[in-house]
Amino acid sequence: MNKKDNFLKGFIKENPLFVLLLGACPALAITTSLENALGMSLAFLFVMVLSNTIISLISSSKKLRELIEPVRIAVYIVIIASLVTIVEMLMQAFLPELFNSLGVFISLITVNCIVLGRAEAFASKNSVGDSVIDGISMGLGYSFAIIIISLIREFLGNGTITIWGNLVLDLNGLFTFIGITPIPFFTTSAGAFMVLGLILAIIQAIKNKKEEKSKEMKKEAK
Amino acid sequence: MEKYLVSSAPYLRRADHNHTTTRIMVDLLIGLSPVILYSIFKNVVFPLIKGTTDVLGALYPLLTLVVSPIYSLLLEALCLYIMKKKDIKSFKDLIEELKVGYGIFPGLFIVLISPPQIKFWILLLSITIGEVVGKMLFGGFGQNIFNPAIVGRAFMAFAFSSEVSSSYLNVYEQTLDAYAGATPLIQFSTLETITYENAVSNFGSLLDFFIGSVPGSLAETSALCCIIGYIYLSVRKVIDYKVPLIYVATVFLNTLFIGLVLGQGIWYPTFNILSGGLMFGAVYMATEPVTSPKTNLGRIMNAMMLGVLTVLFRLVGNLPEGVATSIITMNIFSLVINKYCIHMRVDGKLDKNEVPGLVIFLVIFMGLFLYNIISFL
Repeated sequence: MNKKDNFLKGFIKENPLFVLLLGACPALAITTSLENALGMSLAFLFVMVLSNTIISLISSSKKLRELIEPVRIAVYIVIIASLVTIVEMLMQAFLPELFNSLGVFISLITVNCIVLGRAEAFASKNSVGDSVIDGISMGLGYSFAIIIISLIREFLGNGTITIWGNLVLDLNGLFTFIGITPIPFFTTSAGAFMVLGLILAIIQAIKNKKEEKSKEMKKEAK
Repeated sequence: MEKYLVSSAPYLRRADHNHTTTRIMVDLLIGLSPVILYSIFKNVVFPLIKGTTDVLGALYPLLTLVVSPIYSLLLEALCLYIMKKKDIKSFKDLIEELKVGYGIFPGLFIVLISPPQIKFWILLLSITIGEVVGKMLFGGFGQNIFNPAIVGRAFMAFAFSSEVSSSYLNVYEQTLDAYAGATPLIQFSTLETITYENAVSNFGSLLDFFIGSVPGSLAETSALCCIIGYIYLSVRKVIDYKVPLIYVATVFLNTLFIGLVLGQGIWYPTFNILSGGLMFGAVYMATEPVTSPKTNLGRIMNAMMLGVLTVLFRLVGNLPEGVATSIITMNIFSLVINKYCIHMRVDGKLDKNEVPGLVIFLVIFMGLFLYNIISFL
């Protein structure tokens, strides 16, 4: 796998949320506004890249790897938890409002399956450079996913798009123009499941179509 | 244990040998006609006879009744076209697919269980959710897990609860002072002291509940019309006659005991089975061939659980209605019930290793039944 493929895989092909369905809990809970999703993305990207870097550094030394082999999950968790604590404290100090609205879900990045999964499946087996690229790719892929969900949910549920702080795009006029009102259902968790499910269905449909096409191409080639 | 494969519902009996599933659906339409006709009479003709000034408002339910099935059918055609592009090459193929898809029913059922004056876009959105999410995404007719109409109706109830509860009154009922602005059940759920006068007298007598001249969704108000439809459908063997009977009987028994605990007379259970969508749900929705269990025993289990769940949601929980919610809840368990009962159906007897399942079912059923009663002590 070359570097470009490694970078691009996180967006669609191996997207952590849409394809691997990891980390769905925060994705469903905090995507009520774009601002939350952006904050979560930043925190997540930071943790993802640094944890991948540190873990691949540890694993690149053979002695160290053998040493931690029996307790590696615990070691990974400690590393990730320290990084999450750093993010949490930074956010509490500099972005207190965002910290309040994200609440417990910052700390929950620790047990987010993607971070641990990439550490176990990728970072511990690959070089530092590749792991950093993988971390960026996965982090951006996850951000991409939650930003899409939050855009849909906030637009349909509230009629607004909160970009950051007071910078709010009010699209209620669009709703009144066609004679309807926003549907608060989409800001509830049931609405989150529905949006995620529909996106998953669309992605799966596109994938199936591609597979069929490649099968047909193979048949024709034969 | 051996494995038995179940093909997708509905099933034809040998008696229908020369017919197709279309026969079932035509029968269902005939069975629905009493409630449809009555709802047109109650919400369109009657206000016009009474000389309402709001003629457009009076004709509105008729408009929704006509548009919804057509809209639902168009949606189905669109979904089929997108999903099965390869198989559908001409317009004729599409018609053939539509003939076996019965796309009008989700739309028709949703409009029948919706309030008469519901806003048009809310209705269309709910039909879209019911038809597309509840039915076509699962693979179309026969493949869906949940009753598509109830998916749409549940979406409407949870997404637009205030809009729904404020549009139950038709144009004639809006002019009457006696009605507080909602259905008997919504009013009932807010009562502090339950007496016959408080619960029923506002809306006339229990006979009015039976005939259906109380506010409510389009088709659900008239118990009489539902019973006429029930008799026709049972005679034609489109539905299993046991399911509505057991469902309503369970609700009656359970509320009878609750009524005794509360010191109420026989009116209490009668009010509970006549009001709201219980009759309509029991006859037309709990018996839906695709999503309900397929064996005799399974259907009986399903109907009993529906009864206690309806009482649980309606009287113990804080949902005023509870029929749609309980049906959608039991749809989840259809697969389990089918898997459990199908061995018994094939073997024809109760095996030793099948006894625990029956015991578990009875424990859950009796537990809920008693819990409903105890929570009123």
